[in-house]
Amino acid sequence: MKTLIRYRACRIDELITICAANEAYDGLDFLHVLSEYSGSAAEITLHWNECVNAQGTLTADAKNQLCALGGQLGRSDIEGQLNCLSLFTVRIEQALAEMQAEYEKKRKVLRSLGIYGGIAAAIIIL
Amino acid sequence: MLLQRKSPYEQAASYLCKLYGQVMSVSDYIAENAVEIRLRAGRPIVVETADKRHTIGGAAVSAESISECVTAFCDYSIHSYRRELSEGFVTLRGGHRAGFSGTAVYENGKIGTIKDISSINLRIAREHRGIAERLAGIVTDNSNFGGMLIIGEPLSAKTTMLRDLCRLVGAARKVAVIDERSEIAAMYKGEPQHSIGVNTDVLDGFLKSGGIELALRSLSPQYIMCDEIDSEFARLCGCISNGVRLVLTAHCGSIEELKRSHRICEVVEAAGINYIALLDKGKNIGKVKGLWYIANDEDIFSCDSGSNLCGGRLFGGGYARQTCGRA
Repeated sequence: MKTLIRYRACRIDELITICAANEAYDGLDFLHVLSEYSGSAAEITLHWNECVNAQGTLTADAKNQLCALGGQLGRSDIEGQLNCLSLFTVRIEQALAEMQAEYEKKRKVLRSLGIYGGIAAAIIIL
Repeated sequence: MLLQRKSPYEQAASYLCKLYGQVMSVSDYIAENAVEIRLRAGRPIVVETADKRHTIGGAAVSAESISECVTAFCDYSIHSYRRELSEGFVTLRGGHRAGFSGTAVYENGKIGTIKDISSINLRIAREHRGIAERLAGIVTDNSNFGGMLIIGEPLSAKTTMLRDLCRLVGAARKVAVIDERSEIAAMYKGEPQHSIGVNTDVLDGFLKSGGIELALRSLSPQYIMCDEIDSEFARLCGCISNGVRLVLTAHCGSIEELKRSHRICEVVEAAGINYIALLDKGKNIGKVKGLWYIANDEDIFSCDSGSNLCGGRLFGGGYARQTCGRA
């Protein structure tokens, strides 16, 4: 997205159309829904939050981040847009790190539970 | 896809977000004849027709509404319109032009952008088919034709006249139109939104220098048409080969004013222009007020008063006495 903004100064509707056609964003169904409004940047801006919130596979935090990003896209010059995207990249990386840490924690708990469960089952069988 | 479903006024008003309803509340007469919609922060909306200013009732325009409109003009993609914002105008779908005033932000000695936009002038583009018939006759059916300069004050329909001239001349001859501000053809996704003639090639968004060069190199035009020439234009005329005729427009209120303007006289001389058409304004908007023929590179004849010398020299510091009636 940064490249499209920096070197091609793509409009919002063009960005959405290009991203929706990119396999790398296949998991983000809301982009496909938004790309149906291609040709009307006003409609995309209007329906951004609605489409993001309709995607079930995203966490509440991810939805909040994407809605906030939607509110900033196209609202400033190229430098502003690139800075804005960098900020959201950092935020998303932080959220990802937190999720990974949480997953690790849960994985350890589950492994411990599995071990204890196994021991308990062995005792019962014995 | 031609934008025929909405009227030009409605098309332009649809960019005005929350102000749309207020702007659309005008009478049919105003909507059909409006040439400009003026928005100024803290003041009411004014719709201008050729002969009058109409103040629209209702709440004053807020700074937020203006900011919202600017975002809409930029297709909600401010970053894609940096050049246009720094130049103070954005051309909208349909060829309408939104001009801004606000606070200049300088970067490296040039205006980088305009912030705190406080007023918007939305100029409504219209097609008036047939207004250029007289000029088209001169352009196409005259063996002496060397080039034409269409002059007029602001709001005298110079662009509209040029657009109709494109359509009429382009019906039979090869025309290249350098549409620097996307106002003449109003291209959208490669298709013109206005009728500009079957043999007309549009160089959309090209600067005049690059557009002329490309047209001469690859489009073999018989005529090149450009809107609103500037002081740099005379320099470009040298590269235009014989056989290609120029049709240009320039801001200029009278033939006397033209004679005082060295930059325009320079263009007339360099481009081999031998016809000058002055457009009327106000109630006679879209009509040719005067038409002159330049002979021997400097003597000016009025085309409306026969072959008599009108009295004056364009480049010799004399004067031109206009004796022509209305076209």
